[in-house]
Amino acid sequence: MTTDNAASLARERAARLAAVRPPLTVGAILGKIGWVIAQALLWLFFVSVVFPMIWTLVTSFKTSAELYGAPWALPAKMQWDNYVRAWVKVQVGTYILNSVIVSAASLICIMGLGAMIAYALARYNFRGNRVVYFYFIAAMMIPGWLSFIPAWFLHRSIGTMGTRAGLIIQYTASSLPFTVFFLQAFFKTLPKELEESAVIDGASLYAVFFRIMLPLAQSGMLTVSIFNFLGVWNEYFWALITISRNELKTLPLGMANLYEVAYYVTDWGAMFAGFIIMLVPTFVVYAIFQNRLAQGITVGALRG
Amino acid sequence: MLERQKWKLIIPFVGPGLILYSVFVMYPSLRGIYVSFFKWTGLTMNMKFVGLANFAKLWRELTDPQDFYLVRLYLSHNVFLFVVSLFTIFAALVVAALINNKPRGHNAFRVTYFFPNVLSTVAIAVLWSMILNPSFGLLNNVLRFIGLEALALPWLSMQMDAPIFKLGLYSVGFISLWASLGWFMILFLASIQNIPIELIEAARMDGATKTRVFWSVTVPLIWETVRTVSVFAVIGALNGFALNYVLFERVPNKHADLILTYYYYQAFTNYNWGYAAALVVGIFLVSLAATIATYRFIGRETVTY
Repeated sequence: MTTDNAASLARERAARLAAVRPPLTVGAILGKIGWVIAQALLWLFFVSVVFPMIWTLVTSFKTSAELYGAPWALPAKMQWDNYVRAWVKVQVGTYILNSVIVSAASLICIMGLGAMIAYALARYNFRGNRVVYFYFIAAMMIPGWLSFIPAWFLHRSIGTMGTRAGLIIQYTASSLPFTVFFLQAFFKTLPKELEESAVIDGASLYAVFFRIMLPLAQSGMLTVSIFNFLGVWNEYFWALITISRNELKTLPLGMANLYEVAYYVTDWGAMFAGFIIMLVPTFVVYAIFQNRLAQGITVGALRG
Repeated sequence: MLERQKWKLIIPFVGPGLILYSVFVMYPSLRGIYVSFFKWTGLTMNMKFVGLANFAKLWRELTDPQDFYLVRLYLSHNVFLFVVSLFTIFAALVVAALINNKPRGHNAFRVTYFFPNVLSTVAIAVLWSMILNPSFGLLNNVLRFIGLEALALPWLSMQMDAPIFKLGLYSVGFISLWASLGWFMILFLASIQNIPIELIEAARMDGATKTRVFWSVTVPLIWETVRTVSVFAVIGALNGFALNYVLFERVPNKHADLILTYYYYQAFTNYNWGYAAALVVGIFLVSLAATIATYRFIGRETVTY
């Protein structure tokens, strides 16, 4: 097709698109009304997410009396003391520290082990490669509920029950399937030439992985890390059934705890303040990685 | 590459992860299936093999026409949540279509709608129990503010024995919708944006309205995604636990509890570990069957382009 032809086709297409602009009929008016309603609903849902957050933030600076008596007023005086009580009495700081330790350690183990497995499976043809791959993927179909009780007894018998190590081990093991699944596909998309030339230059097989492949895989590693971080950071059930000592509790346990404590001593100020403090890390991660998360979710769910 | 040299990398790279995964994920999962054939309190090592008795008991409680067992009641709540998630899928499709037209503020919509997905279930539960609190909660304050005092109900704790009026369960349903709409929407939006623009334009040129184009061209083209999301909906509806558990303050609530709440109390309160395991195996089989059925049932020929 000549460029001339293409240009005239494009012009024709534009003209036809303009020509189908509908006349003002009943249907068109209904369509307009529908559009307005749809817009209103979009904004309503937007408000249902944003407004509770603002309300929580504002309330965290109020006294309990203001919470009940003046729900729509701004705090008469900023109650910073709410935050102090949340930090000292409800031990929000302890929960955050525990979550940071457990998440960081788990993330290092998951990404280290996961990347090595995924790389070996993606780049090396060996007997049983497919079997090992599907063996790892299989757990993505099996609900965790099936393994919780036996895993509980297992940890009790090896002495990691109710410790941070117990959490880290279990989080690492159960995050491997998704990590291997995602990274194996990612390593396959990377070009082989660099590795091959490095091998010819005399680099060891390990050096090829650590010096060349890992830096190349940064982007995929980051995406999986965010997912694994959120998974571990937000995990509730396993921590619930294994951790009983308050000083070892992670954030989700602490948050449930906070709610109960506030309920019995009716210290709502500390409750709202604690809630806000606990949300800060999630907010920061979301603000930085929002786009990457949306992309990663699409790749993980739809290409999978 | 030398065969022996190859294994020098494969074994240390795959080995540790393989062992960890086998010991802490695969072994407990298989053990879970194994336990479901035993009567076991979990307190002693004394396990009594009972064959399929746990499953028979589960089946009896589900199908017995005389007695009204809790399993059946709780499962009906899961079914309700599944219906809610079907509605969520529909709403997410419409929202994705609207946002794809890039109305004013579409980026803000996209970012905020997705936000609940990064919150932990516990955070969602605590946030909503504050919003729905009968005395100081945000919702009732709004209702009072706009003069709908009569509607300011105790959304979570109101219990009536009429089988249809389960306010607590309806609240859980709404919160689930609130929490998952953004996730479904992102998936739909990504697939819509993958459709070649020519196909949409061609239909528009033939005089179809935007609504018509959406239902007759866009939706069939992203049918694969609709199917995937439906599978997520089935699995999500069967796996609800933490939201209820925190929302209802760890107290059994027969107006809103779910099948996994029942599992939790069987295992950790009644020490009926064998039966609890059978329950989970049942849930696993149902979600497996539902996944297969979803692919069969809404397996309309996928349109390729």
